[in-house]
Amino acid sequence: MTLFQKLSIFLVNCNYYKLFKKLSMKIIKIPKGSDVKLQVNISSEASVGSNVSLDDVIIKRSTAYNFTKELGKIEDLDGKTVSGSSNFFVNIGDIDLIKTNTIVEYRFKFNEEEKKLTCEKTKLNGRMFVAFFIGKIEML
Amino acid sequence: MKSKISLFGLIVFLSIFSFGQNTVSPDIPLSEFNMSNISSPAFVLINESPSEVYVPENLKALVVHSTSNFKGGLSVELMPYYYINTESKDRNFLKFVGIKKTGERVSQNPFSGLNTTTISFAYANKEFENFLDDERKVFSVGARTKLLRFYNKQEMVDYDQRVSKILQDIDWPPHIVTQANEANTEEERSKILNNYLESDEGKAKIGALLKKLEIYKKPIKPIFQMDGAIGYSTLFKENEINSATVNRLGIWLTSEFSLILNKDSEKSKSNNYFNFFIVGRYVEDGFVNDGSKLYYRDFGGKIELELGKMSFSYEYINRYGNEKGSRSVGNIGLLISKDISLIGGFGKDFSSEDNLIALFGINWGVNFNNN
Repeated sequence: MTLFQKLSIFLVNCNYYKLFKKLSMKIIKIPKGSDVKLQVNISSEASVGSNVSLDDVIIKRSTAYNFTKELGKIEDLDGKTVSGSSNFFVNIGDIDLIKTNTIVEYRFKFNEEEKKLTCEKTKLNGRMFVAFFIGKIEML
Repeated sequence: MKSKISLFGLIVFLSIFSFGQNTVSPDIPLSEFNMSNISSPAFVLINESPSEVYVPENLKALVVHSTSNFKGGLSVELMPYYYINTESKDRNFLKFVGIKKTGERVSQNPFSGLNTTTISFAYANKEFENFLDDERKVFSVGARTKLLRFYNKQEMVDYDQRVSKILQDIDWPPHIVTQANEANTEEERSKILNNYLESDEGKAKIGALLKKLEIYKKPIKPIFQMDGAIGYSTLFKENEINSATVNRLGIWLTSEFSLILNKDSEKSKSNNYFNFFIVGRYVEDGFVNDGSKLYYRDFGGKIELELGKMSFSYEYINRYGNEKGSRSVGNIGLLISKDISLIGGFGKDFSSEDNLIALFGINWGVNFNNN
């Protein structure tokens, strides 16, 4: 692949990224002064490993089915993009059935409230599937 | 809806294809061989092939069975576990295999395999040797389960931890997550993710991790498992609903000890096993002309060399009851894909006459939850 081709693909990807980000990224609105934490709850018969990113920087990796990450004050999070992915691996059992029965919940908790994001599950191959979310945090 | 219609079409096509492949004699005595331990109990009973039955690890929610000597009928096997409590929020891998880790203490529930219980239904319109002169409708129901299952519990805990540590390092770039998140269907999302994995960036970032996962794809078997099954079938003598019926009952118990042959091999893509089976079964057969019933108990064993997708085995079974004899059969099995397998066998059956066994069969599974 030539340098020009690589550059073209990069620019196309950037444009797609900006376009999608602008059009449809989920907005998580949180009141001023809140301490925010992200709670991840996974129910699956597959082995799982997850990671959470804030503005492209990994802030948490976990092998647990349930874990929580303190994100900090909303004033520091305002305008940042938060994303997470949970990767699943199936050895025993049928991957399609296990994927169907897998539940992945990402909950943003602040004050006494919470906002729940549901994740789409995607089969990668005969052994793996992935669940992910991406959203933008905004201060109210 | 379209996919369900296509699936139905596929089932019909495969059924027609299979029913056309009668490579063995249509007159199969009750004791004749079908060593397909992936067959449902209902199918085994109606197919006149009482043999050992055990519960495969890759059971699907719905399986359609057929083999070469299955004429004009169908067998369906359901696994209720995947239809009950689908909203459960405390599933995990170790719990699924019956292992509980509390701090450093690891315990095991040997009855966890009961969640693999299946129920099966079968129907056939066929002629039975030495019983009536033409085809009769016969219906069958069955169930099977894993009564006991013992894994090497510490190895399973270690396995789960090692796999999870690799999985937590697979981080998808935000622009890929965004693209996939915006796709309308799972197929589109899968294509986006897989295209990324095939790109230079994806290979550099995630390729090495996926390679590390390769050795964990080898199937894991319990050290010991005991499977049980029961089947009951009814045949209408006059092909009318109010006509007299005769019945068949089969009960199977199969214990399996598995010894892994290539435990620490990182080069081989499959785990190879030496398996030793102990087989016991009881059959009551009312499909006989003089109105009496045939009873017998079988007890025997089987040794099997399981080399990835190929398996070679030999079984010897003694029969007691009002039918006596022994069976000595060699088998070959080939898993073509995770849904399709071929089985074949050659040897001597229980009866003293016409006791040559030569059989070829096919089995496939269909999953309606494949979104």
